Order: sequence, then structure tokens, then C-alpha cells
Amino acid sequence: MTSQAMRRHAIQFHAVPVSLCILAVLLSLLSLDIEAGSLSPAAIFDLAAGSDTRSLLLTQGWIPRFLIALVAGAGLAVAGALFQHTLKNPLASPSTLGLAGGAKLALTLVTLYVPGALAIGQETIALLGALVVGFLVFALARRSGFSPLIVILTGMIIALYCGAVTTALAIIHHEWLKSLFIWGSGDLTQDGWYILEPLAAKVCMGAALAVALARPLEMLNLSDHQATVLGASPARMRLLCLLIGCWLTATIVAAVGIIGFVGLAGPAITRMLGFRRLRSKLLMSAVFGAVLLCAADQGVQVLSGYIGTLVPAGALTGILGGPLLIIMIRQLRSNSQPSQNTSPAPEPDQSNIRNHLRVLAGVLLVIIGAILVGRDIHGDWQLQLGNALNTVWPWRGPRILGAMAAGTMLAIAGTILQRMTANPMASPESLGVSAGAVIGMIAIVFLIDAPTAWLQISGAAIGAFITLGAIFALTRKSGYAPERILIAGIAIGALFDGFIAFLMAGGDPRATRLLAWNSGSTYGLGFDRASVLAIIAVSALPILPAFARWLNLFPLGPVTTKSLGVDLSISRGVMLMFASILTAAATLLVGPLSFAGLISPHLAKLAGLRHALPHTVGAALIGAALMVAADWLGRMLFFPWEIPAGLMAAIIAGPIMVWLLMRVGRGAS
Amino acid sequence: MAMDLSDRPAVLGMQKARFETARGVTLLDNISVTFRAGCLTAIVGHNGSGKSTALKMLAGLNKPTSGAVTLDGNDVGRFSAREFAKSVAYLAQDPGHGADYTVEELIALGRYPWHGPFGRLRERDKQSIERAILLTGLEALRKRAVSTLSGGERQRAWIAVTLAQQASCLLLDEPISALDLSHQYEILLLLEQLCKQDGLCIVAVLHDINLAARFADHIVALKGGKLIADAPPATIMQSDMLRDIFGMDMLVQPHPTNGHPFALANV
Repeated sequence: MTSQAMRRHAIQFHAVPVSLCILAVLLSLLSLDIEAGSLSPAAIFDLAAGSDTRSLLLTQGWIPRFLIALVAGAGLAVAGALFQHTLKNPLASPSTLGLAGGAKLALTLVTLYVPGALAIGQETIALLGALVVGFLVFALARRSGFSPLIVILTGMIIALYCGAVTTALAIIHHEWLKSLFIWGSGDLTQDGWYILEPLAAKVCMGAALAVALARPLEMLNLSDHQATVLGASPARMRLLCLLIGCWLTATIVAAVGIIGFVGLAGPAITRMLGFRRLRSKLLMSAVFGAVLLCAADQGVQVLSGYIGTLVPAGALTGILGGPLLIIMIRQLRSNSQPSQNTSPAPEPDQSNIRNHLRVLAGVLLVIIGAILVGRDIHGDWQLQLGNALNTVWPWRGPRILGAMAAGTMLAIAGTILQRMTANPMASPESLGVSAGAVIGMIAIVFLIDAPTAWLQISGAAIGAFITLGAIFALTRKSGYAPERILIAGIAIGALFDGFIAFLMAGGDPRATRLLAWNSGSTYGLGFDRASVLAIIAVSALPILPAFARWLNLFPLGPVTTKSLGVDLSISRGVMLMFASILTAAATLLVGPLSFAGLISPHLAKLAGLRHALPHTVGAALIGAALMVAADWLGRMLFFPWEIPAGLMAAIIAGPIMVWLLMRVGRGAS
Repeated sequence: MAMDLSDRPAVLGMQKARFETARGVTLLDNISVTFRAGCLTAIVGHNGSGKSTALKMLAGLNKPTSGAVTLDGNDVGRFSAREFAKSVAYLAQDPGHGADYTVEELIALGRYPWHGPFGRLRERDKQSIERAILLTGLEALRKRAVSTLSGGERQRAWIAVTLAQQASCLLLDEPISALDLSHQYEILLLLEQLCKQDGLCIVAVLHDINLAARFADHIVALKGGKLIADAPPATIMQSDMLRDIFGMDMLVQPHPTNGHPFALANV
């Protein structure tokens, strides 16, 4: 490449963060104009010096809000960079450890059951919730020396668990919890400097500490052996890194609520710009995080003025940050980064007959139980056979079938993605396809009055396939490199999630109805749609052995895989297509049930199924059983209320995974 | 004892091949060389002379910036991945820890080009795997996890993978660098035998010029990305030649027992 071409490329590349900064400045000026009525410095100073309402709005409202966006954005990005460094995973973010989820759950529980306690302050309760979760994650991961994989999995489970319980409560008691929706998506409104000042102090302390420790923390880039031999203590360093990250996250979440994506996007942009050393990564992440959140929040203020509803800041971070990441991915040159192997020592493969039979037996038990056991109209539990079964079968049958099929398909998709990307955090949700389906569905529901079920599905299908096309287009040049796929999927997902959060916070009743579907529900599923799902699931199974061969070779690295005769682009592309179609089909008919796709592969691996085919099949069976159980419990536990299957699955599987993880952690230390 | 090798069929070749990285650094310049069946060719040269790059080009992993790399006269890029893997096996300098496979399982993966995504392991595949285990002396280690083996044992396991692949060409990047002396000779004797008996075309990057001279039929020397010698060992093992290739003063003596030329550093 000539140096002229290189220079042009560099300019194009840097155009993205530069335009972000320009956008932030423009939006800030616009919002300042709206607030203060003019942009001349003299007029603004006069206003600030005054003491009428408008002055107060400026000095006690707009200015602290502007500053807190910078502070919170910087802090979240630094926390995200720290987590990504320690956990060696580009998908790690402040929400990875579940702190935000814990904070939200604590607030939800207190609001519902101990409202008097809110007197001590929303912030304190949120902080306590976050710290309890942090402590839990640390306690569980300590035995393994805070190995990245264990920390990620533990944090993931706890985050999903908290999220599931919170959403379940929100569905049942949604009138009381509406205010938490805003907080849940980030609320930066200020009425004074009393939140900003302490927060700024804490964030500066945390960030300064991180930057000061950056050089020793670099040692985490080496393997544990190499670091130890050089006199460092990797476990202690990871703990330190995680502590600082948790501190930053907890204080920010407590102060301004949950603002997603900034902690992921800031470090991602920094990394793509080529900053390699931790110190520069921390500093530049802070800058980009601050600018991104500032742009989002100022944009929110401008928009709220025009639209008239409160728009949460978290919604706009996704809408702004998502496309940024997408543009940068397009401009990355196609050299994939080597994936880090962070798994603990391999266990011997136990894919013997006994293990398979055990899994199969468990699955059958669950399915039979779900078919036969139910509650009658008085709410009494009973074993329903014969006539009693026939009466409920038209409703129960399709739901069990649908849950089974969807669980199977998502588990397969999740296993393929995790093996292909060698990333334990990958899930069908990472493809952004389910978010695309949701957006499609939302578009139809909002644009057309009272759309039929098939119309909604068509909308969702179009949304899903547009997203799929986007992912393919973005990653084709790099030969569908794993990290690209994940970042692209997350970026698109964040973009769409932003829109969804936008709508949810608006309080539109149609949006609240979508909340249940958004958590994955088999409600209203008839045999026609369930059969379609089942057919797709069943026809996917025979293809698995073919993919198993590829999936067995991928862990050996791209060079060995290629020299053994596998065309990397074709194999990755085909499997990506396969996983996406399964995800889209399941999402269309049952709603996003991504937990099945995220957890089933891990459960299968922890049950001792290591090689590609037993792993995938085992995960499929476990996914099916998990969803059937979750659907059944969701319908039966609070009869006649219903908790969506997706949420129930998180609530059941959480403790199981934590128990299994503790067993693994003991072995890995 | 120079052999006339020009009657052996040419298998792999590079014609005026040049490799430039994305940043404009030239790693290989104007390389033209032919590798023949039944020939063991050693590629030697200083660190950074382009040996690994050349091997990767022959393996189809790097595309030449200009010039051609051919297999049986056809451009290497024209073959499908599986077809190519049936003819050419490549062992990287650092093939990795073998994920979580046992030795047996890892070697079995070498059969992929033959059974592909849909095939099962047939009798022929199993025989090939057994033969690879036998030839590399890994019988006692079959059930061990590859990542728990010593460096040398793991290298033998990877060599066994390339053997199981049953390709007619083997491209090996420093295949014996981690092995102890007896195993180094063992592997080289094995490679020599495979060349003579099965007519394989073997190209190996070797650091030890004496081992190269003892076992190779032909030596290709690179220096700074350019080809500076392409001759039988007898021609290469001359003081002035060696000084040109390695930049060191070396004495060449015949081995006391078997007469092979031996180079000793004159330092």
C-alpha cells in the first residue's frame, strides 16, 4: 500500500472519533442554546450570575448535567477497559459482573417491599445492591484465582439472574415500578451539584489509581506462569483490577442509573484505533466514553424537548455508539487478532454412554412432567391424564412443543457461536439478529393498527434478515473473523436496544405488552406455529455432524485448521448463516430467549461433554429441557399469572450453573 | 556423492515469487526454486531471512505479491482447501498446544482432508493414524492430553498429524527444534526413509547445517529475502559458501566415520 493510500486510510479511520467529538460539541451547543436562549458568552454569564428560575435551571441543572455526563462516561469506559483487560475478552463491560443488575434489583425489591427504606437514599440502596453482587462474584471466583473464564461466567449468571427477577417483578407490578424504568436506562437529570461532586471525586480517584497501576497491570498480558516468574502475582492483580472496576461501576450506577454500552464502546473504539498499552487505553477510553455519553445525553435533552417524552440516556448511547462501531469495523483491515485461550485446564472428555444417558434421562423426565402435571381451575396441583389432559392439550401441547423446539435451536446456535468465536460470552443475542427481529416486530406494531400475528411475524422476519445481511456485509472482508462478528452483532444489537429502550420508557402501552414478548414467551402459541418451529429444529439436527468436524478443528487455531483443508471463510460463513437462521426462526415465533443459547453450551460442557458433536447435541437437549421446564414453571408457579419462559429459565438455571461453576473452580485452582 | 535429481518429477515450485507485507516491507524477492518428488530439501538461512515466509507461500497461506507458486504446474491458489490439503501438509513453527485433545484424537484430526465434513473414519483412516503413531514412537503416549506433554513430545505429536494426513508433500517449519538429539536423528531418518520409499517431497526449515547436509538431498539457502544458493549439500558445505550464508567463519571437515561433510564454527 502506498504511503499516500495509507495516509488517506488513516484519515478516514480517525474521521469516526473526530466526528463523534464534533457531534458532541454541536449537540451541547444546541442544548445550551435551548436552555439559555442564546449562545453568546456574555448572555450566558449574565444568566448564570442571576438568581431567577432560568438561572437556576442553567447553573443547577444544565451545567452539572453536562459535567456528570463527562464524568460518568469516562468512569464507565475506564471500568470497561479494566474489565476487558483483566478478563481478556472484548465483550466485557461494566455490566459483565452484574453490578448494575444487582443495583437495579435492590432498588426494585426495596421499592416494592420496604418502601420506607428509600429514605436513606436511592443512591445508597443502589450502591449496596451493586456491592453485594460484586462480593458474591468475588467469593465464587476466588477459588479459581479469578480466572477470566470463571469470573465471566459467574458474573454473567448473576447479571442475568438479577435481570430476570427484576423484569419478572416489573411485569407483575409494573405500575409501581415505572419510575425505575427511567433509572434503569440511565437518568442524568440533576438538580444541584450534590451528586456530581462526590461522584467526580470518586471517579477521579478510581481512574487515577488505575492509570497509576497501569504499568504493573500490563503483566496480565503474559501467561500466568510468565508473570509469576517475573515476580508478579496474577491473581492479586486481577483482583485489584476487578475491584477498581467494580468501585467505578457501583458508584456511577448508584448515582445515575444503568447506562449501557458506553463501557463497551469506549474501549472498543480505543482498541480499534490502535492503542495498545494499558495506560493509553485507559486514558483514551475515558476520553471517548466521556464524549459518547455527553453526545448521547445532550442529544437526549434536545430530543426530549421536541418529542415531549422523557428519553433515557441509555437509549441514545446505543443509537449513537452502535453505528460508530459499525463504521469502524468496516474500515478495519482484515487481520484478525489472535484469540486468547482463557479456559482452565482441560478435563478429560467424558462423552461416554453414561453421561449421554444421564442427560437424556433428565430431559425426558422434564418433558413428561411438563406434559402431565398441571393445575386445575382451583389452583390445585394435579397429575392430569386422559380427559383432563385432553382439555388442556390444545394450549399446553403447542407451548411445550414450541419451548422445546426454540430451546433446541437456540442452544445449537449458541454452541456453534461459542465454539466458532472461542468466546464463552457469545450467544445468539450477540448476533443482533434477535434485536433486529424485535425492531421489525415493533415497527409493525407501531405502524399498523392491530396487526395480525402473521403480519407481526413477517415484520420480525424482515428485521431479522436485514440484520443478518448487515452482519454478513460487515464481516465478509475479514473472512467472518470471530471478533468482528461479535462486535458487529453487539453494535447492531445495542443500536436496536436503544430504540427499544426509547419506546419502553415512553410508557406507550403497546410497548409494555411487548415487554413480555421481549422476554421470550410461548403465550398464544398454536400448533401451527409450534409445528413450524419443530420442523426446523428437527431438520437442523442431521446437519450437526458435518459442522462438528469443523467445530472440532477451530480450537486448533486458524493456521492449523486451514492447513488441514478447511476453507475458513466458507466454513465460518456457513455456520454463521446456520446459527443466524436458527436464532431468527426461534426469535420470530417465541421471542428472544437468548439465555438458552448462552447457558446451554456451558451446562453441557460442565456435564462433561467436550467434543463438538456431543457438546452440541447435549446442549440442544439441555436447551430443550431448560425451556420446557422454564415455560412450565412460568405458567404454573404463580397460576394464573404467567412469567415468561425466558425469565424463568434464567431464574432456574442460575443456581444450577453457579453450583457447577463452584465445582469447576475448585478443580481449576 | 551428488545425485542427479533432475529426472524426478517437479512437485512444488516458486517462479520469481515476491512477498511484500501490507506495510511495504519486502520479505522475499525474486525466488525461483523447484522442489521434486522423492527429495528432501532443507531451507537454511539466518533468522529473518524469509524461510518461514517461503514455506507459508508454498503452503498457500501467504499469497505472493508477484510471481507464482505452483503445485504440479497449477497455481496454488486454484486448488480448493481440501484438495490442496490432500497433497500438501504444513507444520507451523508454533502449532499450538493442541486444545484439549489427546494424542490419538489430535492425530485423527489429520485425516480431515480425506473424510471431509460428512465422512466417517474408515479402515484406511484408522490404519493411517496407527502408522503415524508408530512411526513417531508415540505408542506409550496415545491417551495423554497433548497440552500435558513436554515440548519435544508435543512436536512429535504434530509431526504425526502431518504424517496421518498422507500428503505427497510435507512442509515442515523447524520440525526438530525442540527435540533431544536422539529424537532429532530419529525424525530425520524417518523423513529420509519416507522420501526414498514413498517418494514424498519434503521441504524442511532446519537450523543445524550439519543435519541438513547429512540428511537433505538438496539445500536452499536464503539471505535477506533473496535466494543465494540452491544446490546439493556437497556444494554448500564449502567454507566460502557457508561464510556467505551464515556470516560466520566455518571449517568443513569430513566426518571421521561416515565421511559426510561436517561444518565447525571457527570461533
